[in-house]
Amino acid sequence: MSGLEETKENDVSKQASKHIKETIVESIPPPIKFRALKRFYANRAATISVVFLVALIVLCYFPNLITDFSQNEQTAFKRLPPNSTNWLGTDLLGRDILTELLYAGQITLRIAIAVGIISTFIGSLAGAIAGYFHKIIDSLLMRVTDLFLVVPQLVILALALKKFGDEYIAMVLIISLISWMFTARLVRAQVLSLKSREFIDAAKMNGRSSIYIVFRHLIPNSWSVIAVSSAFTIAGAILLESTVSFLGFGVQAPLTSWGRMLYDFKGFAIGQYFYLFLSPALATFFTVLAFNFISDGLRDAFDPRSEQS
Amino acid sequence: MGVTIYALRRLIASLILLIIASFLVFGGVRTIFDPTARLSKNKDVQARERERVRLGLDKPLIVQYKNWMSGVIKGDFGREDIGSEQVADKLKKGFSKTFELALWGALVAACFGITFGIVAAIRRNRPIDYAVTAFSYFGIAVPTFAFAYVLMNMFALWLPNYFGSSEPWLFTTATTQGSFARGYDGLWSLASISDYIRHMLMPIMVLSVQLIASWSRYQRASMVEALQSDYIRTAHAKGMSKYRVYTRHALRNSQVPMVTVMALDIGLLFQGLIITEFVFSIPGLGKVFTDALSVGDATTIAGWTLVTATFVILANLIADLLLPVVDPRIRTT
Repeated sequence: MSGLEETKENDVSKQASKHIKETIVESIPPPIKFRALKRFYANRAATISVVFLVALIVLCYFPNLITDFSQNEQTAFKRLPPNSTNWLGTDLLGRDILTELLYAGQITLRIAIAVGIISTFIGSLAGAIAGYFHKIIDSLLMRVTDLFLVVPQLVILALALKKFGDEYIAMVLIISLISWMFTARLVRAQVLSLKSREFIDAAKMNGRSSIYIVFRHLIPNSWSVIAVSSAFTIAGAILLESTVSFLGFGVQAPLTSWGRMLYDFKGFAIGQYFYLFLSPALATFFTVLAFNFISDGLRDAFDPRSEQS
Repeated sequence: MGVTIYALRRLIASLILLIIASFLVFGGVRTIFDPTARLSKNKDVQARERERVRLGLDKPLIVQYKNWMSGVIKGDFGREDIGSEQVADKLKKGFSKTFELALWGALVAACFGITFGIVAAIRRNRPIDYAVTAFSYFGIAVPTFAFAYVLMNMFALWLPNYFGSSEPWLFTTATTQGSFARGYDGLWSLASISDYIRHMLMPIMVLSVQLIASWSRYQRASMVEALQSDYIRTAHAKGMSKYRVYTRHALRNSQVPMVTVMALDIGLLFQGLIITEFVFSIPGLGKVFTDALSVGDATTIAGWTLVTATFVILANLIADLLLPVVDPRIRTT
């Protein structure tokens, strides 16, 4: 008897919870972050780009998954056009281009991602501080940005690389040094608009220090801008690396990057051995494209209004 | 604040910026390079020392810069460190070539970029919009030099070979002097014009692709914004023809942000053609720079920085002064 009532009660509560689940819980939108994630994955180009980049990183670090050659392994077959054994052909020393490309990709990606991290860090910090304090530091930041606008990036890079040598660490630091301004400007604009919001006033009234506000409120709330600009910075870093390396100032042998490969194959850029030049060029192009797609995908995901325009 | 005072203030700030920038570059090149290194194995032991004195390398950096700058103020950019040419002459020669290229590039890019942007905005989310977007993604992501080499292969090798023509359709260098010397009848003859186009078309394509990519995106965004505004709806509602709505209302208003973007980009072209000039071996400003950098010629590089930076700053200033002309609403504030 009591058991029957219990089950009845159970039924009622089950129905009630089902009702609650259907009508109330599901009408509550998921937290902002997951909404953005869903929108990001709805963007086909961005999703494909993520898959492409993950595959690229895995292949670059484990090239033996698809090639039978080891790095710098020289075979008797020199300058073969693409075929079934050497998918992208061989270079003038008989090395398999695909293998070389993947090993070179390690350096390129490492430089690009390191630049992304460092310049995002510097840029968001400088942008937040400049936006929040808005007086001396702000005008200083703007003047520095002006200076970097006037002196072309290539000049700074070429000079600095000549001075600090062929270490790719130096390259990472220098490219970061010239590419953090973009992030800084975006974060600054974001902080300027956040600054007058109520929660910042509340934090101030609670007696929070400026440093606390910058690190706990302003930077976390600028996260969307930071994510977008870091993907964009990485894309720019890859292009910059390939350009300086192509001019001969960048990564030096025995290290190879895609830019360095382009430099090595410069002599074959016109004519029947064009495929030598084409492989690193296409690798650069598609990687930059993927980062651009991700950057735009993030922007649309965080700010749905921009998608419509 | 009057426009004149505003312009004056900007000019003074720009001068300070120019001095700092040229000092940094001059000092950078001087400390990193030693232009006398090539004389270290010279039989004449004194040669290197004499060269150092001639270039003023024995004096402190700030004195060297002061001497150079006092020359520049008088209009004398000095002599190049290695060789005997005047820097001013080199820059003048380089400028005329770069200017020619930049002018054509900007014209082509403006025509195509703005048209693409307008069409994409009017036909939003239709195939032609996607095509324009795809093109601009391509233009932004492609490395300049790689694109240049693809074009070179295509127009100088593959296509002519395929169609069995004996000589390349387009030339991979942009030096037209040689063919002028071959004795075409006059500057404006058909032969010489076609020769000019065949030399210049590829560099122009390369440099304008990036501009078209970014300008069409800006144009599309600002046109879309204009098309969504209330006055467009009003114009449609009162029975205005579509063509008139687009040209008279949407286009004019969408041009306002374009003025800034285009002026800035055109200013940046004077330093931004380094790669294009390198690949097509064009004797322009970029070539002056790469040559000077390879030997560590601080006088030339500092002069180059001063001249090209002036263009960037001027472009900035023109953009700011043009803005109230294009958009009278800005004038009142």
